[in-house]
Amino acid sequence: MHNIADLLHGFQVALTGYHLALMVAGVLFGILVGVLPGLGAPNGVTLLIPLTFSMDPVSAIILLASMYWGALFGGSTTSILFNIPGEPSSVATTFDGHPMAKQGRATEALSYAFLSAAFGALFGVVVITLLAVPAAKFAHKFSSPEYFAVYFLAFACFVGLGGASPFKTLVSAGMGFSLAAVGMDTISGSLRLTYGLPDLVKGVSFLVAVIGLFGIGELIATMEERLEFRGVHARVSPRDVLKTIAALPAYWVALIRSSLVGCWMGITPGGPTAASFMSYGLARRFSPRSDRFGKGEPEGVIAPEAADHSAGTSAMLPMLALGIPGSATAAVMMGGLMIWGLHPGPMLFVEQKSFVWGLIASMYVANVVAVLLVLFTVPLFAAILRIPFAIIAPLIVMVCFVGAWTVSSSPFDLWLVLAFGVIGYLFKKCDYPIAPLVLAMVIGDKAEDAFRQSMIMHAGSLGAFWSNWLCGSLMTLAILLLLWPLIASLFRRRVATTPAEMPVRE
Amino acid sequence: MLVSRRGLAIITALLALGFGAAIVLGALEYDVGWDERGPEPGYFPFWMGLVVIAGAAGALIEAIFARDQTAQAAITLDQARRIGLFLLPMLGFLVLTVALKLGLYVGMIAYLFTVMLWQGNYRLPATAAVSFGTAAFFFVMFEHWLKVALMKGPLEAWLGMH
Repeated sequence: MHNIADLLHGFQVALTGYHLALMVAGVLFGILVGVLPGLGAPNGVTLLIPLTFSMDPVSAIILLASMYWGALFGGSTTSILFNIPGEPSSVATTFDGHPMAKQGRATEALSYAFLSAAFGALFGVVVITLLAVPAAKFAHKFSSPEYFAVYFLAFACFVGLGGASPFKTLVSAGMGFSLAAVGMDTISGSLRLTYGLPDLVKGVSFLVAVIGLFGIGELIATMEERLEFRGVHARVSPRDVLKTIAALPAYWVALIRSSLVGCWMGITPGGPTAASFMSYGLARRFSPRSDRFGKGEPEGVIAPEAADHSAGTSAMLPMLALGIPGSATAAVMMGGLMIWGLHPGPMLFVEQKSFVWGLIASMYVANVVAVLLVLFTVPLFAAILRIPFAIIAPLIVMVCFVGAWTVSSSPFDLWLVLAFGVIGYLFKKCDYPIAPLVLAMVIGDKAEDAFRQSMIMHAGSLGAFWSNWLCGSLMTLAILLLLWPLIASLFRRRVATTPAEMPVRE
Repeated sequence: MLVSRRGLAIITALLALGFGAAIVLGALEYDVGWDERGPEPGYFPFWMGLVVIAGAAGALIEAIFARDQTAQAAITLDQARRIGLFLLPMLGFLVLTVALKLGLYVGMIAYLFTVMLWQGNYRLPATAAVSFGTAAFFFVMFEHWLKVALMKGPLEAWLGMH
């Protein structure tokens, strides 16, 4: 078992005083970002990346990852107390969490949420620990055609399994790839899609796009409704937490099922949001108390929370081993890795052992740190939301613009933030998925290089992608997934005569 | 009601269609075909532009033939007014900061002043405290602590703060 020795080495890296301090700072900043509307996990990571340029990559990734865990916890807090999901992935938590809080069971709901979230997260980390080496070994067999096939499969998953309209998913992914192509072409050196604008020569940074799409876009959507935070007061007492810990094992089926759903959706690029909805739907369908869902049923809090966090953590596995991020936040982190000069993918496990295992070990530690911190700081962060929105919102706007400036000190980027903000708002209003766009912007260059190198290797023949069983089966699976909405609609039409029970839709 | 759900879906699909067309046109500056070594530089953006166009056309047809939700309002007049009030000061901030090159600090203070006085109905002392306090916080955090220079304009030069 090489894993154990590697993991122990990782703990040596993660358990230094400096890294523990980074975890605490990251988690606290993450909770803040998760609590505030308009600043979510992808955006928080994005804002921190320019500040990590001078840091050691291990320290930088520990800070970013801890921020992510904190943001996931912060998002659940506002869902339960204010009925306002701080993160898209905690929408499903509002269904039962807020009713519980209104019945005076806020502490119970928060404890259930945090503890099952921690269970899901640790489940995800264990899965990563076990699968990391085999996955990297498997990916060692990859060359350009296989990489392109995996990238293609990732996007086919969005189309086939994403839940949004396949057309809208295509628009989102295509826009991302096009934006990634702007600027200097890595192979021929030609300046593409610049339309004569010198500002476009350096390309469009995915960091700027994320700040606009998730930050300003989210704020416009929030502004649209007259937002009032009418929250439920909460103070978490140790006795209530202990009582919840005692009650939690009774929900073991829901916990394990939700964690498995989360891992699956995290490793395939379904992402935490889809995972939490799917897990909530499954719990409602199979629970013996399904009639109480939506009225304050603890299982309705446990299921989405465990899935959300296990998806969040396990999304790191494909990012590290294959260089394919499983969620928008993981995509931004992968962009960070590339900025720090690392190459995500199987070689990372050989060349950067301390980095990979330090990160994995830090995920165990940081999630425990996060649960403890969030339990004790809930009243503090809930108080932040009592500051009037008329002050909070403009301050968030300023944080977004300053963050965009720090990416590459370009005034043009500030205009881009506003443009992406409007795009993000329209996408949200019309149910276009944003994650494919972000993913495409991050891996666009790599995907195009993989495609062109495969073509060079195989004399320009598309047969390159069916030249061996591995690549061929990946490509065939991807094409099946791409056509899945079409196949499914034909199938549905045929069985429409019998009153079929429709699955729970997101 | 300013625009219905169907209307907004159609507008968004048309905008996406325009985006796709712009990408295709931009890609046509280079060869979009294949040479003996594989695709030329324009190939990938050209086809991605076509993917956007195809997706947008599909979304457009979906929006036109959608049976439900067509009459519902996507954005009411009241909501549009609130969005406008949110975006207008932001636009002003960008004009001051970027177009007039006054820098982030001046833009920031002007923006926070406007928003808090005009939209938040705060008194002058509170407004001044928040806007100057924020600028000072950013200055200390970025210029001193993180050693990242934020965009500065003529005012900072005049004060000798470069």
